[in-house]
Amino acid sequence: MHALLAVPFLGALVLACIPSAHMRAVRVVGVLWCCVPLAVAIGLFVQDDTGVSYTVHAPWIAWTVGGTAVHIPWHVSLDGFSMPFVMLAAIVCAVSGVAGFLLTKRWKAFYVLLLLLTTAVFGVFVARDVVLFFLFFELTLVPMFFLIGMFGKYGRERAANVFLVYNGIGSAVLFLAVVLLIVHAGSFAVVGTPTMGNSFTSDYAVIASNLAAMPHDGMHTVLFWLFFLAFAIKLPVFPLHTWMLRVHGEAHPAIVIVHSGVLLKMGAFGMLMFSFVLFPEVLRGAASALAVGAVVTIVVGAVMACAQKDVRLVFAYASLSHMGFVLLGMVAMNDNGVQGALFQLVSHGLISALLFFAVAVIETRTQTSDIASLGGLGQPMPFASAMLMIGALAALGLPGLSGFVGEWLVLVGAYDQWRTLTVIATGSVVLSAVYMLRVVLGIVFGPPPQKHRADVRTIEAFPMVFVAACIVVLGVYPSVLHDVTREATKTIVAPYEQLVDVGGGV
Amino acid sequence: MTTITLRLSDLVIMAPECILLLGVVVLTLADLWMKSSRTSIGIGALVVLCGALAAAVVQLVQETDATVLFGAYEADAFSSLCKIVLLLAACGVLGIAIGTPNETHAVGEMYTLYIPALMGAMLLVSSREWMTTYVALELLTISTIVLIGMRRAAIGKEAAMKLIVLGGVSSAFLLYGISFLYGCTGTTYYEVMASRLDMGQDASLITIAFVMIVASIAVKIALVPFHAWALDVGAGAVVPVAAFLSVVSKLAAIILLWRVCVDVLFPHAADVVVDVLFVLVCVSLVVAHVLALRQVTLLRLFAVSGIAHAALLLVPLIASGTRPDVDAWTIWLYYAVAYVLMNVGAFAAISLTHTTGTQPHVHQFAGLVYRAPWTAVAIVCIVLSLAGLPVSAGFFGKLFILLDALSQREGTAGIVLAALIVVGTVISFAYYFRIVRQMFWRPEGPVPPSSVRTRWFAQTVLWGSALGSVALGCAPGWLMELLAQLIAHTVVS
Repeated sequence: MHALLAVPFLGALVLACIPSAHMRAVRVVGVLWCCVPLAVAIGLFVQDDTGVSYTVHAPWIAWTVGGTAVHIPWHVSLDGFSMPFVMLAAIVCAVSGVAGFLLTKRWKAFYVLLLLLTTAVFGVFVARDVVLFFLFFELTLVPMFFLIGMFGKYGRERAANVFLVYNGIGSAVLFLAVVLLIVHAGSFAVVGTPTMGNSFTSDYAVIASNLAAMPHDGMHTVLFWLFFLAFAIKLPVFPLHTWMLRVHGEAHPAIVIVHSGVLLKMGAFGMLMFSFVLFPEVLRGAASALAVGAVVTIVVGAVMACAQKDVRLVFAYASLSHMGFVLLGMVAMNDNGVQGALFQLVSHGLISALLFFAVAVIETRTQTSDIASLGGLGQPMPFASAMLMIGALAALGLPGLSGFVGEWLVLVGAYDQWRTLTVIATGSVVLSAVYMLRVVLGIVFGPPPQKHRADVRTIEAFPMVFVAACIVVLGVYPSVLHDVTREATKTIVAPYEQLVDVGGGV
Repeated sequence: MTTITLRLSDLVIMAPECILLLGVVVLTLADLWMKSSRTSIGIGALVVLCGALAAAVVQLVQETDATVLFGAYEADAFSSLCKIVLLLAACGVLGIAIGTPNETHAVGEMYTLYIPALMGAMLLVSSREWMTTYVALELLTISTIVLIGMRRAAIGKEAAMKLIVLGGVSSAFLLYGISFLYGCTGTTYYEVMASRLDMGQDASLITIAFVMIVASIAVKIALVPFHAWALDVGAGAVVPVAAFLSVVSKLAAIILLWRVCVDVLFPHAADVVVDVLFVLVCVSLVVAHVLALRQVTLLRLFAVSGIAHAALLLVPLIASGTRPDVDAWTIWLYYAVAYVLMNVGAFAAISLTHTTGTQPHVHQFAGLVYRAPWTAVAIVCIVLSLAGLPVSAGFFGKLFILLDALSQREGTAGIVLAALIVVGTVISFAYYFRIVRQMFWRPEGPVPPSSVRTRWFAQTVLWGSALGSVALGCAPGWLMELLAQLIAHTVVS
């Protein structure tokens, strides 16, 4: 499993050593190396698709002085909860690596940064230690900052700065929350010493069991909201989403693929793992408010998407709306809701990758992403148009494609608790058809353009077909993913349901 | 009245300082008599520092724990460690200085004068008596004043003048405070003084004295609101001297504050002193970061950001509200090492890209990645550490300090400190990443750049700091464990 972390990191080192004058070598090695983690992830997935975890637990940082011991273990684990995320990350990073071919310069920097980012992203998803998680979470910030700022449109630098400031605030809040969490709930008994209470660990499992045993107090509420705020910026939740629009609008599509495909998911992953699982009692009190927030995010995203003139911004608002669904599923905190949220995360990651790859292909040929100046690309570029169409249909939740399953499960999960809200959320699915079809109609149909537009090359076609196939497979046969997440979802949901049972329902 | 005699065995205990003293004499004479080149004097100074470093390491390994001159000077594990940190920092500063184009009147003095200044700093660490402390402090201050004033440009003279006036005022306050305490106890030794002070009898007098002492040292550290001089003086000095001020002088003053607090102040008026320091630290954390946002001149920027780091270094001291425990000492030392690495590295970067005759400006980094990509990567590592991002020494230093602040102090005080640190960190992203932006996203400026790659000494310092920062970020537990072991028996006793 450590190969997941080691392979991309090694790749970054190797690439850094290739002189950037050898452009061809850099590109070939870069693309191929981006695919290796995917192979590793598939290998791990095939070897063990039942969701039983690979775990490594070793001492990492520890110091003992006086009566106090602090342990920060190296605890990484690949279980049913992180497996879908790791697979998604591997696929999306490979797709982004191929999309890097469409860049016009600085390939070396792109691939080195992308591979570093991949390492950090894998780290986030497998870390089962609070400090380690935070470390990897922060590590994603730096390569992403460079990637956004180095490649893209005119406003990319501003986008990178806004990205850094917003996510910096998020990280700062997270930092505070992590330290408070360790101090509040990290105490444990060191084997061999009778004293308890002045040894601290940052191991997630220990903290979780400590918190479960503790009576609920004000600190839990504080921690819940700190974690929620930190991850709500990342997810993002309305009204904390403005930075993400800039990134979607300005960065190069190859980078937006990773950003929208994986980085947003880290927000959901963290929110579930820290806010919701660790503090079920607080969630219970706050669930309805959060559900309202989620539905507001869904509706605002959908309405705004209808009003955009730029394809990228349509997709950005669509992402916002879809992340609202994820939040709704997670706060419902039942089997269907959480399964649906996880499914929606994976599915949205794939759909984003496909859509932005299509945008990348179209933009390299037309130099624009303005819907009004595009049009009629169906004739000269049938393949790219078809892929765009598949992505759009999946995003609007067409049954048979992956987008449908996630949204359906989320809505089913939420319906028991908040009927009106669920109905409103369902209404936005109609809107999603409006904005997605508007994009597709505007770009694919209409009078064909005057200039010649070449269709996709093989290297561009391959990842699109692969991702589209994944979307179809997930839509037709969702069990591929469900089987992996089923057990994990049960453990995630268990403490909350227990709470609800004891308290006699929400 | 006993006559004070200094035996040879006492000199052995003071070996690091003695080596420096011998070295500076030899180097000064060599500079006068021989037509030696500038660089060879610099390398000679570096050798002297290495000798002192070796002596300090030997003392540390042998677990020397002895006092000289009736306890006025103490060599224990903690002071040896502090000296090693100071010496390493000074080595870095000299590395920056060697090969920097000369902007001063002096030739050899530009190197030899660092040594007495450093000697003052090291004596401060070991001093357990007020007069020794005062002499050491003046040795440090006066040497740095000369270092600053030697700059040819008028701005250097102005800076030296400011330091003379402000340093003098703060020293006067320090002496005034000491005189109160001497009046109450009739002694100048920390330990004896602490045992004789009687809060029941002279409470107001002692409190006034304590506040004056804390304030005067706060001026030396440049905590807000005593910070105004640091910007001008930092900007007036040449780059290596600014590095010395920001690293060695600052650390020495902070160590002095620790020592004085732990030995004299905390046993009697911990609450008052901690409250005063708490306010100073909180204000510094906020104001320094906000001020730094407005700076574009690099030396001013780092003078201000140094204040924020200094405030951070004081957090473990006040976190517990009483005498800091071993954890606090260890964490302090860890962040001190991290601070030395990142700041020396930052000044090496400034010096490398600096065009002679101009004020170092953030624009000098423009387009560095095209000229020297690997140097740019090293600078990114330094910036990460400064901003407290992983994987770097600065990140773990901040983490440890936060953990300590929150676990030691119940209630709001710890949370306020932690929140301020975190907010400050976010603000600091904005100004530290300006450098990164210049390096990667700006075309090269019209000014012909200085040769970055051929300056081997500064390059070594830069890479040493960058790799050190990353290595400490990858394996922070190693150093923490080592430090904790080394100082455990000293601090507890």
